[in-house]
Amino acid sequence: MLEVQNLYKSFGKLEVLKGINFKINKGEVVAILGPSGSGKSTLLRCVNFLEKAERGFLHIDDLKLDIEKITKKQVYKCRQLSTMVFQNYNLFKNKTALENITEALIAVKKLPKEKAMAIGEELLKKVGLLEKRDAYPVQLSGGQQQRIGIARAMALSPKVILFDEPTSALDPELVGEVLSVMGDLAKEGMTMAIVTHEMDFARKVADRVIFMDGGVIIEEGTPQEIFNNPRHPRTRQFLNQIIHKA
Amino acid sequence: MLTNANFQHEYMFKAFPIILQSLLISLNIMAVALFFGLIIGLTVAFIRIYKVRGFYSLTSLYLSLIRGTPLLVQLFILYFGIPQLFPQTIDFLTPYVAACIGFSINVGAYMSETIRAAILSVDKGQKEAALSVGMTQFQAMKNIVLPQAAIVAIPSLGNTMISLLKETSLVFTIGVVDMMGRAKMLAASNYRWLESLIAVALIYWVLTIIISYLLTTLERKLNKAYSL
Repeated sequence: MLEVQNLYKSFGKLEVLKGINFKINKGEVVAILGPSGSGKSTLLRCVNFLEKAERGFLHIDDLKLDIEKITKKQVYKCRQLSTMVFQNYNLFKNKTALENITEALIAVKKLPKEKAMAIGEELLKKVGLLEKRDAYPVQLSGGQQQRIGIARAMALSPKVILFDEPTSALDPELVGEVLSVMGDLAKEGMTMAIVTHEMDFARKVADRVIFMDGGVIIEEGTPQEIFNNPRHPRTRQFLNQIIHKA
Repeated sequence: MLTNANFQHEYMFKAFPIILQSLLISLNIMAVALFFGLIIGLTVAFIRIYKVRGFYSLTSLYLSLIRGTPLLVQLFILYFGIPQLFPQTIDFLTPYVAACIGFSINVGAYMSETIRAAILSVDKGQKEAALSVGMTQFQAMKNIVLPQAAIVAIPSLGNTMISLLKETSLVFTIGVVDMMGRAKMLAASNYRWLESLIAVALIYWVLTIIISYLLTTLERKLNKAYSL
């Protein structure tokens, strides 16, 4: 489904990703954990080509890409197969909730407006916000905005959705509604890569957990393996800090 | 009413219809300069944002030159100077054409800086979100970034537009019979200088009030998406 091989990325002299290899199977939910600065977000952004990695290979669906030789057209195609949910929601401020979802259907998929609106309303229903269809982002709470953000990412029926700390900017009492939408998605068999600090959620929903630090993947395994028996001392130290804080 | 032997208001009232015969000329030059100024402004703004090689330093020179010299000097160079260098342009460069070109080039420089700042003020995440759902750079710019930049730019562009309207009164110096030109000609013929000038001042003032009102209405409409 999604496979990343030997991915390297630097910002100037700072090496952020030092040869990342990982794979997500169809229908799998993978949680990516790690301290800040470990390269988790950069990894997702490289998969979505919001950052351009120096080298590496990316397989997504039946698209096999050598990042050094990638063309603009391949980038656009790739982005339709993997959409992104952002930490700060990044809803289009000049569009209503419904338009946020239909924008790509009309501009990218070239669907007629009525059809795009039907899909948009369906997705709004799914995230429980149909009554907010004509509201602008400023009129919505953070949790509502992020649920719309998820609906927007679902609109193109991507092969995989990349979640970049989707609940980190939310007030604590709003985290639950977003996680519940994500949980529903996982149950439906959506393939998901989630960078998160929500340990309980990762434990419950993820099929696999990846722990990153210093631009490399240190350890990966099932939630039981990682949370109950972390092999690597760095993983243990990180989990201790996080869990004791909470 | 003002009744003073030295200020005869009936002359002022008589001046209005005469000056207003040139209303369309003044508005026309403003509209043309606004239109081409916007095109120049957008082009220059994009060259500067994307640092287009070769063109970037040209735009630096353009901005520095236009903002560093008086508009009146620019108009004179264009109207009196260019035909001296290229005599074949003399038929083409009528006072009206020279005024339109001069004002477009001038106002384009000021607008480009407003537009550039407005585009850069839109959060980077907006463009990223557009790209992440498969939009092209062009679509992201046109559908998401520019509409948001427009809301930021419109108050300043409105100010530019109001200054522009008043600055068009300079075109009488190169022989365009605009409102100012009419006022001056009228005054020269009947020697009622103050009456003519007060009349033309009042006309500019009312036009500015109308344009400001229209701009405020437009701003309020566009801001809908951003207010609760």
